[in-house]
Amino acid sequence: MTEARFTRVYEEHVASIYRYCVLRTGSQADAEDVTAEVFARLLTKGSRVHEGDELPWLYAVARNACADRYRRDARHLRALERLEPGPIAFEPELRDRTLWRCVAALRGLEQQVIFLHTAEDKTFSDVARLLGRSEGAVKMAFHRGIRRLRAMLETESVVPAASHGVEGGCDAS
Amino acid sequence: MPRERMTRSADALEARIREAVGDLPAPSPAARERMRLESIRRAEGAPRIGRQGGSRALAGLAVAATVAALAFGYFASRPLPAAAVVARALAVLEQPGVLHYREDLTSTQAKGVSRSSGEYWIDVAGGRLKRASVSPDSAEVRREESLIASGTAVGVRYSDDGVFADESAPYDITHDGAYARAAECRAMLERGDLRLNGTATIEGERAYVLSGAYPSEDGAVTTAVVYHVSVEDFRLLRMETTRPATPGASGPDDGLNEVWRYTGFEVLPPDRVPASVFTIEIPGNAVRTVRRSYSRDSLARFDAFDLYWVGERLGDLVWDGAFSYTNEDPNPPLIRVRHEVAETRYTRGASDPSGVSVSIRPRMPEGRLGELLGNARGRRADVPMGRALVGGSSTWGWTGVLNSGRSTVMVSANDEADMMRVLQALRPVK
Repeated sequence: MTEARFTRVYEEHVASIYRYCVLRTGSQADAEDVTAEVFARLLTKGSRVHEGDELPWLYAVARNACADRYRRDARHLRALERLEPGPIAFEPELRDRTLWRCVAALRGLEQQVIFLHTAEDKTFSDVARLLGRSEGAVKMAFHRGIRRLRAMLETESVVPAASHGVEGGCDAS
Repeated sequence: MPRERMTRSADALEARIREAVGDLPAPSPAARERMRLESIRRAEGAPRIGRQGGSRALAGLAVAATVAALAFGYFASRPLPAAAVVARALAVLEQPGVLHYREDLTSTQAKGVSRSSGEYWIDVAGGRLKRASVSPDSAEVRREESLIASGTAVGVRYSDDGVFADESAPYDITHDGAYARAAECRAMLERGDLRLNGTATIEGERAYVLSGAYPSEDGAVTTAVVYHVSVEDFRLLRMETTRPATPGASGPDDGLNEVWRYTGFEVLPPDRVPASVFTIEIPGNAVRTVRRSYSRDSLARFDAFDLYWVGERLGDLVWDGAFSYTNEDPNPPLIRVRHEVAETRYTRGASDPSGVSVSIRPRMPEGRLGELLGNARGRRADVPMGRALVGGSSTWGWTGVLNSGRSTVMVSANDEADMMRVLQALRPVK
């Protein structure tokens, strides 16, 4: 990948990917680490990605990288909890922590659609293009996600930090 | 749940999400730069950098660094991580204001360890530089200060109150201190001799490790150098140079390891720097040495003693300038003002900047009188007229000495053939 293309893609999308990673990891330090990893992969493998298709590719890499990170850190987090009883803090100052915990617990596509449509203010049409899905599928994922989110919030079934490494958690089952 | 109620509920939840979105942080400019640099490093196969603690400040610096990185044009078709670090380290020096820092030097050689400390104030825009250093030694503590202002350099050595003035204006202060390090670093980068080798911790501070090498002027010796540059704000934290040890050799730099530690780095607005910083106090009884440089015309007017050279060109050797030192000693009983030495230099340009040196001293009487007048041992006043004394080695270079008229002439070169060629072609400047 050329430097010019990397610079353009980085400048356009780093903030979105970073915020997505903050949402997934609950930590700005971890989000920095994962975001750097995502763009490192863009440098090494991005030449295969068609021009204009970078953002959905970056989201997919970010989602997998966050999952990898969680798997890698899970044992460490559990050890930390045993050593220092108490919740693991969600670093960003979020007023509606319960909401974000539950968003973080949504399934991949639903979470991505809700994030892009609300946090990134994309239209359903844009989200569909970004994720390589039909607009109908995106709308369905959004409404299904909202329904699951509402159900989680109504029950507020907080469980130990097992699925996303942040304070408490929402039962996404 | 009725469908209408479900829709209202979904809308309310979406609104709740939109309201909460504002809390999700955007990366600061400094964080953007850190992530960009780190992604480039990882793409190059460098090891991961651990989580960074401490401040996320210095956003402005990072923005300046980005501009500098682009301006320097270091990125070719593929980003170079070492280039990115160097560009950002250089950008630190390009902030407007007076650069102030301290450096501690530890020199280690087979014969022992010595230490010195220094403090720099550098005002590039104002053309001013002040350097103060202290060298503790078993025999004495030597303090030196030097000041460069208005294109003239003045230095004071307090151990013997010697004063050195360099009237060879203009003096480029970016050839000194941190700027000289930056120039070395940039030159190595452009030669492809500098690499980013992961990170290390310097007294608790995370730092990039840049390793490189640069040749001596004559190309005979390569010095290894390691820079540590702060991950957080790209300050130079530490520099280490190591020259190879030659079996059996005991030269002043042979096997020399030097470690510079940089602390207290700050860039101050010029109006916050006390006026006393850019002044220097010269003792009244100081021995004053003035260095002057000469053009071709002014060299012809030099008449303190006879000057010799080989013209403005001798084969591939080209005249590179001339200068003299004048000593002024106001202390009784021997108050004197005299020229100590004049030198003309010849080089082959950038391919061989060391070249050949022709230094000329006023010829002194032999024996005790000569010593009283400053004819220190080793000046070979005893070389017979009309003959030359030559000697040297491939390690130490070659020297030829002859006496002629009122002068003693010494020709020095790395190569014996160069030395002999110049020695045989010497002629008066006038």
